[in-house]
Amino acid sequence: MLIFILLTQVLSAQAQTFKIGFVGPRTGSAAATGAAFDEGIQLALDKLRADPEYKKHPIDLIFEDSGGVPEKATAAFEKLATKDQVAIVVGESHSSSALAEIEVSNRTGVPFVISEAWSDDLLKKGYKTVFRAGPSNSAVVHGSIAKFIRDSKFKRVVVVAENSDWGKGIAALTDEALTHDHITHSVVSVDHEAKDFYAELNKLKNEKPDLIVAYIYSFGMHTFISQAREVGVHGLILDGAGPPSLWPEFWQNVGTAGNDELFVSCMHEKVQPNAQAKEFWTNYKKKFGHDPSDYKSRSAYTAVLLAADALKRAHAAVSADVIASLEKTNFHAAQGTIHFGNQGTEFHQWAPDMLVVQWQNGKPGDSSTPQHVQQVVYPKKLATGTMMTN
Amino acid sequence: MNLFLFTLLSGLVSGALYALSALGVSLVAGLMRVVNFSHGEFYIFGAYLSYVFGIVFGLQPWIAMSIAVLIMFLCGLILQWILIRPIYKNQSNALVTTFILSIVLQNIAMIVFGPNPKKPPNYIDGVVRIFGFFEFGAQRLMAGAIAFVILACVLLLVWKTNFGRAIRAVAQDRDMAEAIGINAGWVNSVGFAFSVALAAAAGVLVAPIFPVTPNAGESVTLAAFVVLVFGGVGSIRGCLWGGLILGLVEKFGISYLSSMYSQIFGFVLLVAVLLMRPTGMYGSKV
Amino acid sequence: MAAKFKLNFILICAIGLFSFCPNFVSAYSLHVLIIGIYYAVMALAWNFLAGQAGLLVFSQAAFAAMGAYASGLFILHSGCPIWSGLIFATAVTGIVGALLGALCRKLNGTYLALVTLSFAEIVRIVITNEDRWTRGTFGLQVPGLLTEYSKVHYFYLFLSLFVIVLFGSKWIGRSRFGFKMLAIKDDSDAAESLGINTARVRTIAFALSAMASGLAGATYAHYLGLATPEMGSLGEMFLILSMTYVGGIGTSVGPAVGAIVLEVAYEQLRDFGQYHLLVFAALTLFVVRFMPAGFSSLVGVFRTLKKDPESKATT
Repeated sequence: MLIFILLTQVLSAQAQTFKIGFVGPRTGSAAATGAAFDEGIQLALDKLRADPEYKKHPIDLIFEDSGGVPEKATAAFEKLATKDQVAIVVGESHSSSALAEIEVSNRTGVPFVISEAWSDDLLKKGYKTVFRAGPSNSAVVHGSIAKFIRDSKFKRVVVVAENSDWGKGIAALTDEALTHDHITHSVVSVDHEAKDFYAELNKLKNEKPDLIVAYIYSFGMHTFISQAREVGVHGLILDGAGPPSLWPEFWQNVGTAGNDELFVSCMHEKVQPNAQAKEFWTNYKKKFGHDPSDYKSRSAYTAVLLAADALKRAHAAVSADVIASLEKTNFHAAQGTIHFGNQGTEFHQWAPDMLVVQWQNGKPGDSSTPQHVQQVVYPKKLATGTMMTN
Repeated sequence: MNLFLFTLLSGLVSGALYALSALGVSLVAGLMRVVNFSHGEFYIFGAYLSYVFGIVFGLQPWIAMSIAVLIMFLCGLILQWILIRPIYKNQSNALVTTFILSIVLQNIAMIVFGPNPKKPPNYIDGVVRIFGFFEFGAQRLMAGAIAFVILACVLLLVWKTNFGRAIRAVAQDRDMAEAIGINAGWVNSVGFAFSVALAAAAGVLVAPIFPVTPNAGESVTLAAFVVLVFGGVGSIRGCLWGGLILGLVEKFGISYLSSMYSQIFGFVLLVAVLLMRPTGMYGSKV
Repeated sequence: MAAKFKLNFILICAIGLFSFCPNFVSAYSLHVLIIGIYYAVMALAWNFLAGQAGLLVFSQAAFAAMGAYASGLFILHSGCPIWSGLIFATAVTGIVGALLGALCRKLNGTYLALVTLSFAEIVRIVITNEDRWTRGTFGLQVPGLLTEYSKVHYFYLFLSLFVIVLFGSKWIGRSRFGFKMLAIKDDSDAAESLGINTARVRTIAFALSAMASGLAGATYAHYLGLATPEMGSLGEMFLILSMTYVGGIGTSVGPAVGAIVLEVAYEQLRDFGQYHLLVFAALTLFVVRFMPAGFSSLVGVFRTLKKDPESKATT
């Protein structure tokens, strides 16, 4: 009997499954992000299965739907922590869901590495179990958007933001930055589920903006863009989130109004800083038959690999050890080398560099190239084309 | 001034569409004393069908729209026979049944079409310049115009044709109508199917402007209820006025007060009206 | 009389056994049961109006949300001890419930449904938009009721609430007040002519139902640590309604049983993703259409006990 027990201990120690939880919106207004996450997860699992270092540690990944709303998110995290008993949870794209999830993480002690929820409030509380390996509102605004606006010499800017945690946070930061740079601007708030922007657009038309920064993370972005042109608002539009401009329905919903539209992204074919990025691009193309377009798929890919790496280095799959292991992370990812800060605003954070990309027409008359291509227009040293104005 | 005119036009267009979508509910409520909670779901299925025919099958927009409405009419006939006919005598039961039906239909839509908004092709593109004051989407204007036309047609139908007379008779006094030889059962069936078709028509008109999602029906139903209460059961004139007033109140509220509270104006209107006149402005007791 | 004692005895035994649950089930299952009990209380509160008084209202879930936010905001801004939040929530929902009842005292059937529905939507929209106070759709984080988080303790808390509401509604149902409610349900005008002040009865019934919901909602929010406008949505109203009908509208225990059974089933169906809500709704439709007395009526078929007026269901 004793021998049997010892044997099972030895055997289980050798074949210790790594249980990783993933949260993201599979339902709700940003379900397309959940689909992008799925793709990234599949690629990551393929890579891990092929990797001999993980032969001893089969990966069990459980994806729970957080629906983009806090109550679903709380339930999802609760289930992963108490029912599935995962060692670590990664993912999430919605700040409001993440705000609820960090509470459950803190209460249950299960570490949580946020991938794509940008609100600065998430790490302000300083919970020991919470990390972020992804963009944050301040990083995106100060690192990219504000600089882009300043360097491109826009004169009149209108900031339109949805009234979500993310939207309000990033709008406030943008407002601050623009004030600091003495650029004429105004801020408009919209309901995050709104479908009709006619009234607001008609009003802001009077300001004759040359740039509209829109922080709307849903299909509302599509209607916003097409309605803007209908009402006669000119000036470039910048999608401050990114994914809505990359969803498959974009061109169908937006039509010609999508020409020259700008959006933020941290992934582009011609901007491949390292081997991991190239590897991701190649594998994605092989598996799915087309180029990756939504950078969130790559975020998910990195998140899963990061989690596996942390679990491998941890002494045991218990909270304290996993957290210690995370803090020592020095992981080479497609977005860069991930390494968490350990104090102040950098506590448990790491953010990638963001690009500003513009949809431009491909070569008309040349059917071998797509009708619309993504051109990186900022930062200048990584640009693949020049920005078109209208 | 510019803002005022813009809002006025928005309100009229919106109002016409509200009136159109409420017409079906009013018709059924008048005929069968059933308030159809799943009205909004017929609206969205009409829109989805128009998407299927327009985008998936690639048919011409007007053809796709017409086929969609026709199919919904047939579905209405079937549904009436299975679900509504047995229960229409009991008001509370009908309300609960149609409420649950709406949830069933919403979920079917979610499973079949997915959560992403679906947009049927535009039936008209471009922008219209209104008297040099401002620009307005051409499709929106067209939708409003068509809604008005349909409303006018329905008015004519109900007041000038035999069928219309039959509907009015059954709505007023079912037993009496049967006594003079009108087949009330048949009137019910066609009336219900017609109301479904009207909902679908509103849906196909609006979907290219506001792409359809599985839960878009809820707000349509609620708006229809507001119009119903305001205009009174079974009164087409009431629907028209109710719809226009709702549209105008909402758009003016959005432009001048707050765009965030856009949805609340309708409900406040409903409560206010019901408290002042428990039978609605024009109608009779349900 | 003997039948009633028997039922109560069975009930008490069942609840007694149920209270030993925490020893046998996992933390996650306990979580599911707690949610089930929350819905059981909501179903009982709705049944009080819809089943016992014949007032089909759509405002139930809204009162839960109101209670949750009232309690949360009160505690967050006044610094009073947590339990005072619950008292505040109950008071607020009671007052608003009474006002709504008074407002609707002459309305029936469709119009009653529409006004209560509008009320629910107004509440939800206000909560969603006043985000400076409530944080809108992103939920208000509220402190837990217990200083040390313990699912087991929360379970007992909810169970106690459930017992209070269950036996409270039974007791009221059997009292003179309950008789008056029944009279109004059967024939409002006749009741009026008998000297029953229908307006007063309805107002009080509304208040009681709202208080139960408000208290349940507040407790639930403090358990989850989060209050969201979703709590007061039509979707939630649907769940409450379906649980009540499936369990047996008008019966004293049916709604509660329906709630717990359906909540557990809901959880089991979770793996089927999108289908579970459809299955639910289809089941409810079936019940309402073909078995309007709910599954309780099956129990009645087996037992040959005389049906007391309480278990007569609305058609």
